[in-house]
Amino acid sequence: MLERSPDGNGNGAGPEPGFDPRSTVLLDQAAAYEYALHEGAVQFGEEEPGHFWSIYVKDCYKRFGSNAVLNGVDVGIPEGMITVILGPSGTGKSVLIKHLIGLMFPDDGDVIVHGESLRKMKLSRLLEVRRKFGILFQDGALFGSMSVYDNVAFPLRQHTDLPEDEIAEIVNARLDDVGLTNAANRLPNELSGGMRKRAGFARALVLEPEIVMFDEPDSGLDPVRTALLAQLIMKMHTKHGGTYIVITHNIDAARKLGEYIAVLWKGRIVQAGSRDEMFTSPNPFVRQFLAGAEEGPLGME
Amino acid sequence: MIPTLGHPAGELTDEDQALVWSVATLLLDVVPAFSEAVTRCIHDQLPSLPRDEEHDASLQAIARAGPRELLTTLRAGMPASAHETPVEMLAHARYVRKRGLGLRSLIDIYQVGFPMFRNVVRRELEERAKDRAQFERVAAAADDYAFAFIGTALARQAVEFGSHDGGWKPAPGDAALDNAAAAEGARALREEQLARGTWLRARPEESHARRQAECALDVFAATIERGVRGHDMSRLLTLADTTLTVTLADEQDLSVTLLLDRSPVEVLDGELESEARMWIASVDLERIWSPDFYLPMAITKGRVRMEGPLRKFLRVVPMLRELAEVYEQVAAAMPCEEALDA
Repeated sequence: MLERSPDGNGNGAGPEPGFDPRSTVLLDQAAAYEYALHEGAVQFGEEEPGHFWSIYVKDCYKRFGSNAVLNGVDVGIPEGMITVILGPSGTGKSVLIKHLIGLMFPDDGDVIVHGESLRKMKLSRLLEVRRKFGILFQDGALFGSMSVYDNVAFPLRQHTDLPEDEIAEIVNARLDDVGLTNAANRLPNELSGGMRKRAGFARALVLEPEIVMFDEPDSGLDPVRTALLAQLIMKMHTKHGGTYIVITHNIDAARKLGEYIAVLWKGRIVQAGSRDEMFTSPNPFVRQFLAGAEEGPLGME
Repeated sequence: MIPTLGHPAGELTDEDQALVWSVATLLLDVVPAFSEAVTRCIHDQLPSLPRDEEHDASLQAIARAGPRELLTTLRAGMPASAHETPVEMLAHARYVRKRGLGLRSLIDIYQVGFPMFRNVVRRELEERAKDRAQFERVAAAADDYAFAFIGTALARQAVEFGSHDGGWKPAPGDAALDNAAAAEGARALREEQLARGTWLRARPEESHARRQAECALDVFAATIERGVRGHDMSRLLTLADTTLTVTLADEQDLSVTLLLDRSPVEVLDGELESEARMWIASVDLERIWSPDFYLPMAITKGRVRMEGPLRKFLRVVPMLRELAEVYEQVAAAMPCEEALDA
């Protein structure tokens, strides 16, 4: 079964605790403000799907019972950039990730990956498309009984016919990339939180994915290790290219990492743009959110 | 071919656009001389600025980058909504902040430098306009275009100082534009250069603008060719698995074609049949190696035009930053500014 309940998959992505209709009013105000700002400007559209955007989330709705978790998400993820999807806890970030990789499907709307609709795809094609993704889960999601080396080698052994000497060459190169050469023989429980994340990162890169996703990469890390991980993510992006998508609620991490930032709030994208556009945005919603300010249109609801 | 000028003033005739294009083309030749003169003028006006080689080099770099950006984007027909902050201007903002100077001192520099450049432009437009009405129309359009650029660039630079409220966006009637010393600096520069016989050429075809753009394309091609030799870069670039024609937006008959569907990758002169195409201004092609330049954002803003599945190339664009050092070496060996100084 492709679609799983967010409560049942163990990744802690439960639906939001109720949807307040007042939020819709605020979102509409935010959207109207954004529209007024850009009225008359040429909106960028692709001549053909997949010619520009890596992923396009097209007007997606997802509801669990009475809870609207995605409430019309419409956003493009540009190819070749580090995109940060930024939003407070419980705003639909983890549910959105699952939609991006086809682990969950929208009630309405679509997700287009490299020009192909995930909704219209056959299962066999969907499984092929998933190979385009490398994913770094919050806790690294390493196999506890395998060494770091074997964890990183695992996708190569599962999905390729490469001989062990070539696997060794690739694994050692990725471990070197993330600075874990000396920890190759250790078990995950012998690693610090930051090392586990780096091992997970090496594993995410090992099949040369076109899209790498990071689910709350800063969770459980102190500010210094968060900064070091951010530096590593940027270094690897320069080295390997592709589209990186970072899901986080950490504004500092967004500022450091995000070349393109989309602010998700109450199941909708309030604004998306380059880091410069976002951090100089006159949109009061975005300004308040990115400044973490108490004063502004966003309240406690 | 004269590209359409995309500024918002709108109502320009073909003749007006040709006038702007030819003045922009001719003025590119004197950007080096302007940058030296404006640096002197800025120091005279702002004696509290540091006076050392390092600071002057950075100041001269923006005094070249700003005018070149404006003149090249005009020639390329870019709309004012596509303005971005040149990476050299960002570098200067970071440099002056490191030197302990504030945003105010950066704004002061612009309030001397920009009026001086504006005076140079207006003088040449006036000289070549067929009548007063054409001059006023074209000068107003040029102001719209340049004001938007200064506003965008300074707002972005202000962020480097922690300000999110922008720096200075000139507007019609802005008192800061009536800087008498800047006007005198512009007049003196023109007189001096005319006396030496080194002011503008008679016709755009005689200018070195085309040669400079061609040089930027040659440096781009040579950087890729040299960069893919001897390490993993060639294999990594083939991950794009595409062919791409890169055409200069400011000289649209100059192109190179990248064959990224084979190893080693190849770079061929000219426009060959390819899967994707992009039209990019020479100033942007020079920045493609910089971590401050984002090609996808340049496309969404309308700075760079594309056709076909450019996404495949965008996948490998971050890797080009690894070639920044190679680019510096190639550019030092083929200095495009010599094309202007010639």
